[in-house]
Parts: sequence; C-alpha cells; structure tokens
Amino acid sequence: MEFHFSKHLEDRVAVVEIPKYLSADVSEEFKDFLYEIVEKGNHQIVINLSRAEYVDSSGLGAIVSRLAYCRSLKGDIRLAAPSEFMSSLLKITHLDQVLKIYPDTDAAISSFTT
Amino acid sequence: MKDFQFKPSKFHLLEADYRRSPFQIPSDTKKDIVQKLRYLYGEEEAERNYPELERVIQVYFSYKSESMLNWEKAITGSQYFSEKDVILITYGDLVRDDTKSPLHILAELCKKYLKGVFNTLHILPFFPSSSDRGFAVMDFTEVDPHLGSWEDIADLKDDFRLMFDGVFNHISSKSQWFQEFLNQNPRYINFFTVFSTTEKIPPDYLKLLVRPRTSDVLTAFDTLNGKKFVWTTFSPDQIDLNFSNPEVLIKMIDILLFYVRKGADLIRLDAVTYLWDEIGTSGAHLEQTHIIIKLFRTILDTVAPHVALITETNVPHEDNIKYYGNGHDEAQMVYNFALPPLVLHTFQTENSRKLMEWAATIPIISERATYFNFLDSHDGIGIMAVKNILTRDEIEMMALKVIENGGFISYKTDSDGMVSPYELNITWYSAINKEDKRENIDLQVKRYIASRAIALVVMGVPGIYLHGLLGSKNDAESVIEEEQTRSINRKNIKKSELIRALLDPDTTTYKVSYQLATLIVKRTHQEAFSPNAAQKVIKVSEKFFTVLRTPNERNKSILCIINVSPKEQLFSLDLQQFALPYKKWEDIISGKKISTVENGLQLKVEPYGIYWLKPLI
Repeated sequence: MEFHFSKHLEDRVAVVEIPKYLSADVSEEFKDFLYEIVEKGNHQIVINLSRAEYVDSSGLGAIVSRLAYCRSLKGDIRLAAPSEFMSSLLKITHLDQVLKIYPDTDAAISSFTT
Repeated sequence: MKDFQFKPSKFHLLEADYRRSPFQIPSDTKKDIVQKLRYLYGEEEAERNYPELERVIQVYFSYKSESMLNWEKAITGSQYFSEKDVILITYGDLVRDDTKSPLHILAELCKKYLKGVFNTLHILPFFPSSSDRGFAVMDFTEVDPHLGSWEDIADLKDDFRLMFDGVFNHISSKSQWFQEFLNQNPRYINFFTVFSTTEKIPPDYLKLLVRPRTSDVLTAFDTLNGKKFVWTTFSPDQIDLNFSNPEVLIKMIDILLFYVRKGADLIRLDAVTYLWDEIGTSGAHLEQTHIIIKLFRTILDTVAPHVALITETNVPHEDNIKYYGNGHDEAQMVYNFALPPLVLHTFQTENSRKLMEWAATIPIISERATYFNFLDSHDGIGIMAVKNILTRDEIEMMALKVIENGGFISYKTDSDGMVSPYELNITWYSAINKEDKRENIDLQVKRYIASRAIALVVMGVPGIYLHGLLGSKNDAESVIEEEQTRSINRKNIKKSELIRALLDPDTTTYKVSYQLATLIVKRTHQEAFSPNAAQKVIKVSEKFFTVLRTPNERNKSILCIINVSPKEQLFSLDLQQFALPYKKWEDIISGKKISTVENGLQLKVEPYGIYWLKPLI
C-alpha cells in the first residue's frame, strides 16, 4: 500500500496521511513507512486522521510507534482532524492525554511554530 | 514458610467444635486490641464493641482441628518466609476450556506443570463480582459459580499455599449490603460513607484527596429517603466501606477469619491505602488505616499465626514501607512497587545505576517480614513508588517508550487537581521488548529472562503473574473492546492453545516459561536467596546489575551478575575487597566452573547474560 506524506514549514514538519482503514493487514507497512520518515530526520510529524474510518489496536500502535524517539529529539507526533470514532478510540486508550490533538492539519502544523 | 506436615485442606473442621472451652484471649492481647479500638472509636465504643469482636475470634478458633493446633506450635516465632517461597499470581479463569470449571482447570495445570516451581498460588478475587474483574465483590463469602466452588479451592490446598484477596476497602453497588442501604435498612445505613448533599463539603477538601482515579469521589444514588452521595474511591460500582463504624470493622475481621478457615495462608489487603475515609484529609494511608492493619495482625498472630498479611499500596516507596510498622506488628509483606519501574528503566536505558542505587538502600525488615518482589500483576506497572527516585523526565520517557511498545497509561487526579500518570498498562514481555520483526526472538527472550532474574535475586519473595510466566504479549484489542486499559494484560487463554504453545520449542511461551521455571527451581535450592540472607549491591559497571547474597554460612553466598545490555560486556571484580577468598566458583545456572585470577574474577558476559556464582569448596 502507498502512504502519502508532505513537508511544510520549510520542510520542518512532515504531514502523514493515514489510510481509510488502518488495521492488522497494513499497520506493519505503515509502521515501516513512519520509521523510514523518522530515520530521514523528520522528528516533527503531524498525522492527518481525516480519512480514517477504521483503526484497530495494531493501527493505533503504529501511529505511536516512534513517539518516544521523536520526543527524545525534541520533536513530536501530533494528530489532526480525528473523526468521532478516532476521538473515542483515543479517549478509551487515554492517548488523548499523551498526544496533542488539533481540529485540522493547519492547526497541527502551526503548533510546531510555538 | 515451613512445610506442612499433613493435609492442609483438613486444617479446619467443617463445623465448629463447641465441646471445647471457648478460646481465651490472653490478657495482653486483649489489652492491645482494646487499645486499638479506643484509638479508632473512643473509649465507650471500644468497650461496647470488644465483646462482639471477642466472640468472632472465639468462633474462628472453634473451627481449628487438634492436629492444626499442634502444628502451629512448631511455626510460632520461626522465620516466616524462605527461599522456597515463590508465588504465582493468576485469575481463577485465565485458562479455560469448555468442559470443566476454570478453577478445576487451574488446579490440573498447576499440579501437573508448576509443583516444585511455585509453592504459593495467588488466585485473584474469585468471589461473585459486578465489575473490575473481580474487585467489585458482591458477596465476600461465596465463590463465583462461573469459576468453581470452595471444593476447587480446597483441592489446591494440599499442593500449594494459597493467597486470597481481602478486598476490604469497598463492596459492589450490587451487593446485598449496599442494596439494603438503598432500602435504608437501619442496619446498613452506616456501612458506607454518605452525604445528603455535596454543598457542605468545601471543594478544597475534595482536592486534598489522593486517589488513583480521575472519576468523582462522590457518587449520587437514589435511596428510599431521597438522593444520597456515597464515597466511591475507585468507581461508582465500588462503594467504600465505612470503617469508622466499628460494626463494619468487626464484620470484615469475621470475613478475614473466614478466609483463613477456607485455606488462606496469605491475605492480600487490596487498595488498603484508602481504607479509612475522612473528609479534610488526603484519605490515603491515614494512621487509622495502619491501626486497622495492626489489629488484623494482632488477631491473626493470636489465632492463626501461619497466616501473613500483604499490603498492596501503589504509593511512593517511603510511604509504602510504612506498612511494615515496626517490622513485627503490621504487614509481613509489602508489594515492592518501586522494583518493576526501576527494572524497566534499567532495560530501556541499558543502565542499572538508578536500580542499583535504590537496591543498595533496601534493608532487611525483620525475621518475619519481607518484600514482595513482582514485576507484573493483573494491574499495570505502578509508577507512584519511583516518584522520588526517578526524575520527572525519566518517568515521562519510560511512559512514552511503553506507548511505543503498544502499551497505555492510566492517570489519577492529584491534590492540585492536575492529572498525572499512575500506572503503565502493558505486559512485561512487551514492556521489555519492542515488537520488532528485525530483532531475533532469542535475544528478546534473553532480555526478558535477564529482567526476571533481577526480581529473583533481590531480597524478598518473588511473585510472577501467569502472563509473565508465559511471556504473553499485549492484548490491545481487549483494551478497545472492554474500554479498560488494564485489559491489555488479562487475556483469557484456551487450555488447548496453551498446551500446544508449551509443547512447541519455537514459541515465545515455550522459551520463556521453561527458562524462567528453570531459574526459579534453581533459586529455591539456595539459602542465599532466603529473604533473610544479607544483600550487598556491588557497583561494577552500569551495564551490570550485581548483587551478593549471603546467608548465615558465608560459603553458601551467591554472587549474581546480570548484563543489562545487548552487547557482550567484560566483568571484572576484586573478590578480596568483599572478603570472598574463594578461588573456584560454579555458575549454578550453567554448571560452568570458573577460577579466579589473582583473587580477581574476570568474565566475558554475553548480551543479557546471567551468572549466579557460588563458591566451590
């Protein structure tokens, strides 16, 4: 599967789009994709959740799989545009207390300027 | 604990023997009990309630068989725990099949595979319950029929010592006691801490409360006489019992002694920190709570001296160890809550400094009290105990790495109203090992066993959760399904799948369980691992956890060396410095013989390698 990402704020912030369905069959691939982006030196990452209709536990695990690493390098993984389903998933797992979540991608990108 | 000399399942009679004269409480003990009651309730109430407490104690005593009374004489005053004590922690229904009751299956598996490895079983609450996986007890005296019966518990008793939960802080909202409160039955009106309005409680008082949850402490219920607000430390379904009512205290002592009759050798006082509820205080580890535990201890020492109390208090280490009292008058074991996060921190950072510094400060408590060394349990990895040991940044990074490894975090509300992490929810295997297909499984297992080895060598009695024994990975799917982060480490296992995994040398379950069981068995044969053997932490390098355990006979010492890094490390130690003049040593794990060179020990220790070295005389 192909995943999309783009660079913003003079290439300092990478925005990664998650697919419509992020479950066990693709989550490993997504995790590898995220690893690759991080290994290339991108440590300020926005994950755009707007397309996500279904994310299971493995998908959720993939989203946060480089969180400690990015934060240890003064970067972060931030979320944008969660659906109602995603918001509820983040609440159940208490990840809403750990991750910074923004209503849209622009707000998430500009959060890295402050 | 000393070995039993006869069938422990026959310890107690099925019916009280009232042909014997009633047990006379020694006058010193009576004085002690009355003094404690006075502290809690004042002079008048103490005098008024003592006769009922005495009756409860006498009733218990009437169930003791003559042979039990004789056996008890031999244990009084002796060392309580030994190197033989290793505790398996499990739910009654963690392993299931469709043909037999879960407790029956547990007994079958434990007798077949775990005799000689573990000598004690902690069966998590097996009573009828309405939520929190058994911790919202509806009836303290019944076995949940979905799990089995008291006969199943008795069946385990001849082969294992048993640890029961005393879930005494609260009771289910579906219990008869609470239902009678809702009916405003006068007998139960004071069984709970109740307010008719929340307006009289200053918000500042509520902020003072230290609680392990973020939910409201007061839950509104409709009763026959209108709306009432009831103290619920943990959840709206878990109603705190009101220990400021002496009737409640005596009722719970009756239940404590009932558990002894039913075979408990250890009683785990669940969430005991919050036992005494009082507005205007922190509500946590108040002096009254300590007095109640001391009262339990006095009573058990008097009529059931083979029974030990263990307190479960996820609080800062310095508060946690206060539950030993003076080492002789409160809990015999305390959950060593600082150990799991410090071991985890060690393996995450490949650096043992913080763990060694802390371990070097741990003293022997007393001949009859020690630490309960666990790394995992049905709950998460508590982090309150290391609040003053690790820095805020270190704790935060540990939590973030747990999230990276597929785990979650539970939060609590602090006295300043802020929310902060309380425990990490993850299986021990997943906490120690990242799900990384590029990493060799054997290296992951070595890392895992090395982490476990630390908890086996430090002073105390080790406890291992069944999922820890099996090297289970996260069950994140259940977290989402059950909307409960603790579900990550509570997966029910089909018996047939478990047996298959235990027979397949390629599975993590096989590798972990056999290696861990082998280490445990070796441990149980070494006096150096008695909780009363001296412990000296030796700082060789931050890549090793090194500890010398020394029993009374010095030549039975064991030098434990654990490489906490993924690289081969050179271990070098001048043995003269530690008064260890032995030239030849044997690694009791591998059987390898090692000679010293000019009184020095030099070893190449493989990644996550473990040595337990004993002098060869």
